[in-house]
Amino acid sequence: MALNTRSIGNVGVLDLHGRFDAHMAPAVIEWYGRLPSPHVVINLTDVTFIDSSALAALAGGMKRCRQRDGDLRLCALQQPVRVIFELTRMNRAFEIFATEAEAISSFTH
Amino acid sequence: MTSVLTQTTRQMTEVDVVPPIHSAPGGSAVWPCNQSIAKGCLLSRQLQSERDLEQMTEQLVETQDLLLAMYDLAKATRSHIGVGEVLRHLAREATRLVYAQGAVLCVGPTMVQYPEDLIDERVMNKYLLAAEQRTDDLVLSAPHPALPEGMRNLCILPIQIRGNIQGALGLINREGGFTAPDLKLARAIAEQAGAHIEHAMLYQETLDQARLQTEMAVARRVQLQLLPHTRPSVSTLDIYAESRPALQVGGDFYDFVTESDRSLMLILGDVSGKGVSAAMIMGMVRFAARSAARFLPDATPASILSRTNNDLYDDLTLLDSFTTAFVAQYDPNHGLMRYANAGHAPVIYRAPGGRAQMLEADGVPVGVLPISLSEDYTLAFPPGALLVITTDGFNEARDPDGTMFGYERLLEFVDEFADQPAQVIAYGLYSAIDGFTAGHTQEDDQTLIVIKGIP
Repeated sequence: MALNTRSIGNVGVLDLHGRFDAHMAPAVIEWYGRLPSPHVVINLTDVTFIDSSALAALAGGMKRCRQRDGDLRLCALQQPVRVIFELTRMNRAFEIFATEAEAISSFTH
Repeated sequence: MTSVLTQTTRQMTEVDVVPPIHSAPGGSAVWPCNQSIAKGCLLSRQLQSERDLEQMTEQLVETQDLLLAMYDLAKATRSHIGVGEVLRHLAREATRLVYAQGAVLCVGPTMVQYPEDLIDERVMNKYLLAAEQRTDDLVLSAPHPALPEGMRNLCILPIQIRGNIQGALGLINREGGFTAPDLKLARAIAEQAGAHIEHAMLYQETLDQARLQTEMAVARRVQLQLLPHTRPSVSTLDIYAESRPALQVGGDFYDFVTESDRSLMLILGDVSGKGVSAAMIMGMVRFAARSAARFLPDATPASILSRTNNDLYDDLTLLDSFTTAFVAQYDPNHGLMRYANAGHAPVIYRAPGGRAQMLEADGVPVGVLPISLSEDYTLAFPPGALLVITTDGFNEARDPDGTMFGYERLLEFVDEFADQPAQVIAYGLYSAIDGFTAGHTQEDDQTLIVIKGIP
């Protein structure tokens, strides 16, 4: 699975689409190995569903970044995805922003 | 094989219609008057006929050789089963049959050389890619600017697998260069190679499938074996629990802990991900949670989750996994249920005569943060109170259109069956999702514990 990644300043941004599940999770985990900086924003604007494998992949990235004094932050969650974060309380583990701009600027403020 | 024969036949026919050297352009022969010239002509024609015959015989022998070579190749290749093994064998045979110095076979990312270290793989890759893109043969002879140093000649033929060009056969350094019969033979070998590689790939896929199924069966057995075989007996509780593993096993588990010095504890968890790894991690989490519930002094649901998180955080981090977990402890003296919830959903509570409602988690799942955020909460649990703890295999069950069962339907069904005994409620919920999914494959484990207060 090809990932659509960008760099904005020293923040790596990953755009995901559709169902974020066990099929996509390995590619995301593999991407962490190539991160130039531990500051990461994952844009979930186009993600319609997220399963436990995907949540585990996000948590794994968050831990890797925090170990390197950075963080993995999320933005633009659709309603069904937001519900999953609230039910599993993963919203207490991640910093989540409404827009990508806010997530990126959170690293400089 | 068919096309080899067709090619051969076509060539023989061409030989048949080659006109004699001395024929006039119109086709009718011109006979000189002079007898000696006529004699010479006859001799010449005889020689020509002999040459034609010789050529035809040569072609016949060649065709026979080709058929024999192909037969040998097919027979010998049949005993090799792995893709790598088949490629190595084909490269060796191609080298031998074409009298080349060596051969290279490549399929997808796999490249095999005979003899080994014949040529730098990166150099060879360039030619093979070019041949795959050209879709026809590529023959280069020295001196040629594109030939690597020291190579006298090179012939590359694309290989069709499952209807597409997915590989190539390269023959290197044929003494005296590649002749037309060499090329014909090489093409036949490439064609055969495609068929053999297809076979080997099919075999490999079947083998992988079987291996996966065996692994899944083992994971399923392990998972079912680790679940309690009996339900605890508490005079004021009606308890039923069950787990239906999906074909691709998930990491659901539940457990009851009944120690003489403490009241009944129940644990239900769902490890992230699926498959053998989820089943193995489930075994680990179950062990840690169970030990905490049995031996932790003054254990409460929250302290059990905290201890489990401390014990497993590092391992779960290494494995990129986590577990949602719900732990409850029954207090028969006060008719209370104490619980703590680490990111688990859905958990449904229904007070006697009330409406079913979701008990939302306060803490993150086990293994997500270095410290547990789950705290203890208390529910009144008089006769008629109902607690239904399920895994997301219920709410995420999908109908043939892809619509999810969802939490609302689950709550409605709990209300509908609430007056029934625990086992009937469980059956009711299972049949509700079975009816909803209408035969659509069960994608995740479906696990539940139903606990009801009884007088």
